[in-house]
Amino acid sequence: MNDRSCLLRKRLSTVLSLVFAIAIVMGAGPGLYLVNPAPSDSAAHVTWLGLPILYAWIVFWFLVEAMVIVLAYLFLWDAAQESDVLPESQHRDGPHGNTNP
Amino acid sequence: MNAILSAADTTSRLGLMPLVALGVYLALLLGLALYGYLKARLTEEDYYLAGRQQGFVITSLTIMATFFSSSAMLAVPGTVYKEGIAFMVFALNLPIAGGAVYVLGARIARVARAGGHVTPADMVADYYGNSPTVRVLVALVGVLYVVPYVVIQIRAGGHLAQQLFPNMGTITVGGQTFGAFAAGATVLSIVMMLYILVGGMRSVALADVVQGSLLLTGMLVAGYTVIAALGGPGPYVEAVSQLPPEALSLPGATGRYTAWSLMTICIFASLASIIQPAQWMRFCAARSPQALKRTSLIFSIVLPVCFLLGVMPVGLGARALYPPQRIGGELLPHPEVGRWDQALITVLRDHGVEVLGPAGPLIVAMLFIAILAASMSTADSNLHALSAVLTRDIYDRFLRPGASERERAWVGRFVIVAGSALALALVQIGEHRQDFAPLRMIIEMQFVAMAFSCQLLPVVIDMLFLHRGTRSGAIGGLIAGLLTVALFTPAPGILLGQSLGQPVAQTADYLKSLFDIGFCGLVVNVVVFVSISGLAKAARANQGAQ
Repeated sequence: MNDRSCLLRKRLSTVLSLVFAIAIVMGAGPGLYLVNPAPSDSAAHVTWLGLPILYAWIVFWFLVEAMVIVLAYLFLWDAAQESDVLPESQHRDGPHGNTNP
Repeated sequence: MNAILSAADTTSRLGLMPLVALGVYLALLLGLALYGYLKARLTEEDYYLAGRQQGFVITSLTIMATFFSSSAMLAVPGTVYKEGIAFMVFALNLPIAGGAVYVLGARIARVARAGGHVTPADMVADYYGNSPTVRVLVALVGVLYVVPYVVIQIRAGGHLAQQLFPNMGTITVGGQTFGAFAAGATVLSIVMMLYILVGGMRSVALADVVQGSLLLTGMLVAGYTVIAALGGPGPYVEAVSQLPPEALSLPGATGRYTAWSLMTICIFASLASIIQPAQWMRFCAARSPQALKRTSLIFSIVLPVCFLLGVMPVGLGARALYPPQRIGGELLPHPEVGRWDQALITVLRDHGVEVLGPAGPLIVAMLFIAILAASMSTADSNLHALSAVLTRDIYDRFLRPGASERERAWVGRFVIVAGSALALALVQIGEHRQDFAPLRMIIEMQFVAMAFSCQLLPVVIDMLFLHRGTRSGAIGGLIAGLLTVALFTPAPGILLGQSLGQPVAQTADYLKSLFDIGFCGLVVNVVVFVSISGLAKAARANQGAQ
């Protein structure tokens, strides 16, 4: 793998990680309050295009997360190129890895 | 009472179909056990990891089937029925877990293959200088996760048998009466024990393929059933939109699910479930990183679809069909439903045969078997993992270090028989004595099992990615994390007494309302791990300088 391709992979990795983190915060975290209808407000919009708004929101962020994983599968997770996944200490110290007390 | 009468009525409409479907299913499992036995080689690695040769179809289905217990078909639609749409956010834990199958799983598999590791404790202890303390702590985390799951699944099998065969007679042995519950729990335990004993991981994984396929199909068919019961997609959405606002918003009908608690559950409960011993061994059993890469993609997309379009809409539909009631400020399920976790069973019971056409009785019977399959797929994997943990991490290392491979294999099988028998005995006694303390404690433990497993995350991430921690840091972090999680169990009340236990329980309840329990333990764990590792390194640097 040349330097340019390595750099592109690193950038893509950063962007996808960022998008995935945003999707978690928006879809499963405080971002939910952007659309959450107040339970006490009877006039609040509870649907969007006929669907319950919270359900539509969850499905949207699931699609974002799924897209990130598909892109990672296609362009990042190249198992054949991940030759160095053993902990460095295992390479260095043999089978007993980290011998720090 | 209504629920029991309806169950009897439905069973009469299903005729012999549940018995036939159950018979075919159990015969298939025993056939797979025989196949696993014929293919087996007499080595420990083959028994626990199927020779590390499983392709992506088996890997993906066994990982997905192990990930979800009977809760996928009972507790998840039940909680949506109780809380409303707020709990559907929980589906977003699935892409996180799916991604971790590759990001963590492929690395775990590669390190395990290089080092000949089988269990989490094998690898983690080896990494931290072959430390016996680390080994015992990691094995303890595994046992704390595995035991409640085995017991609860066997109990769920008994309850399902009560639903399937409500008219079954009883027999009396030694003054105790045994009926459908006892028969269901016993048959489930014996069949499961047989195929684990005979074929090891190969049989368990093949059984998971059957069980996983049933589970995924069952989820989607259950979703279709509730939508059809309400008159189709349009009327379904309209009926759901008319639900009370508390069912369509956070924090849910009981106020339990805030955004922060949901987010921490989604992240940390999913990762905890992915690094538990049974899943860890499935990563190690995969033929290649490519198999895990494909598994990761399938898991991340197929499971959330089955949840968001299948089993979770059942809970919302059930809310429209059987509105829960508030009596004296307390939210209770509709009398026809009886218990929250019976939402899906009630929908199937009352509407399945009508809406599923001529094949309705067969499909409904298969759906009941899918729920049983969900229980068995989790129980068998965890029982098999328990055998590996106790044999390799405890017996082989501390009790009989010189034991031969043959001896270890027999000890592993003994653990499976003893574990099944003990779990079955606990469940049977608990069914007759509602106040039976050991079973109640184990049921309580199920709610914190994932939180205990979560405490492995810092050492796993350090071992696979960071390489900054020290052995003493790992030990300190694990102990601190486990003790913190223990504060969320009834243990402080028992050990510290009422006066000291009460404030601890109140603080724990407050934190639980804000965050996932595993996350609370993890914060303490990481702080201790980082601090001790830093101090240990500084002390070593000082010694070096002197």
